[in-house]
Amino acid sequence: MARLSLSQVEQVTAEVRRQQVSLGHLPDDLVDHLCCAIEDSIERGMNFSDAYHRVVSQAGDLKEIQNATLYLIDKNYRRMKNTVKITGVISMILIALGTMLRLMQTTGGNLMIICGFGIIGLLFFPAALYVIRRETQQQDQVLIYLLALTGGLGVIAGILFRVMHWPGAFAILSAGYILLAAFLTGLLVSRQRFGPAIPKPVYWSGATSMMISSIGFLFKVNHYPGAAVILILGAAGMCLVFLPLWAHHEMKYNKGVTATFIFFCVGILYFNMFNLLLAIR
Amino acid sequence: MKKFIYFSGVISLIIFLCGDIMKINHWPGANLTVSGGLGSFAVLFLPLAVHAAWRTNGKRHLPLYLAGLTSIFINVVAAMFKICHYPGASILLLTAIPLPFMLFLPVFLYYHVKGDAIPLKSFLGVMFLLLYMVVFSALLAVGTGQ
Repeated sequence: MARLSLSQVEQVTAEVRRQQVSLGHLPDDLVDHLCCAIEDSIERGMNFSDAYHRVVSQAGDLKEIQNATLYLIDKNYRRMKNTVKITGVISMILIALGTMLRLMQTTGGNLMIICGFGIIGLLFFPAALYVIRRETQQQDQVLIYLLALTGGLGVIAGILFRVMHWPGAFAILSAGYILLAAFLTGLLVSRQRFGPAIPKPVYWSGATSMMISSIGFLFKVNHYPGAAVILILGAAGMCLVFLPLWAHHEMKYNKGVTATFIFFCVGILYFNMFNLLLAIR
Repeated sequence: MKKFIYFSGVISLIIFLCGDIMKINHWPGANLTVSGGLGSFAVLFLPLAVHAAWRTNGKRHLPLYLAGLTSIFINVVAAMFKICHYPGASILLLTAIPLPFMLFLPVFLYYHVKGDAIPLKSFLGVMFLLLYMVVFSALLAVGTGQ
């Protein structure tokens, strides 16, 4: 039976660590499993390098194995994950239908919009944050998640108040955006916790552009002067700095075109489109 | 080919940004630039990128990729017509706005419920993007941007 050297086992351990697997003793189990599979391939006549690449590509996304394990062993996580799926779809349908009813000046539109926003704020968003926190295994990042929760809730409540023409919308939106744009983005960027494989300039450019756009949006809804310029600056940061850096990173580390890149391009396109529509109104 | 797809995506979004700036400032040629940016995104980048991503993914989930491509393509074309004030924009928008929710979302949910290799991170990303679209559409539709 072929046995791996200490440095080869270290290489496998580094791969498991790179994929951010950190749940209990799962990393050790996975290292053991991968090493056994590599040893088996070597036994069949392959060299270490070929066997390593074959086994790692066959294993796929190790993070998904961690998530599947969590889903099986953690009841709360399972409940929250199902809550995210169900409430996400329901709230979206309610807001879309509510908007259409309201545009047609039919009764019930406002109620649907309120219910939709209520479900997003009270169920979908907190549950999504819980699931993300559980999956990333960052139990010490309480402040970041509290800021995300309060900021997100502020923005959701502010938009609802604005849509319904209720008093206090500006104050709530402002508070939400300030929390999200300034504190949360700054903290997220400084911690660099959501993907150590992604270079710092990509994070910085994306977060800064988002922050500028959020401030522009805040200016726009509060009718402050200079909103259009700030919105365009945010969009320019996204297109001219963040996207080329992200594309370069994706090109360098992936074989083909990834669905993530298409998702980012479509997201930025919509982001810029809504910015433009807001700016020209 | 891979490099061309990445470049076409970045360049078409930069052209669209230039069109945005020209449109806001009411400079001549704004409509042409916006059409160029959105047109190249819809006709060049999108089909090539979706095809390449489908091949990278082992040619699986074809209905999902087709639903995504159709929804985004019609949305982008409708947005181009609306921004540039071309005739027929309203009809296109009426078709385009519900399409991601009525065509793409059911197919996406089907594959997700089937447990067919759509990780939760991707699910959350798509849900947040769709929510962003629906919330901003609501905001713009009821005139609160004014």
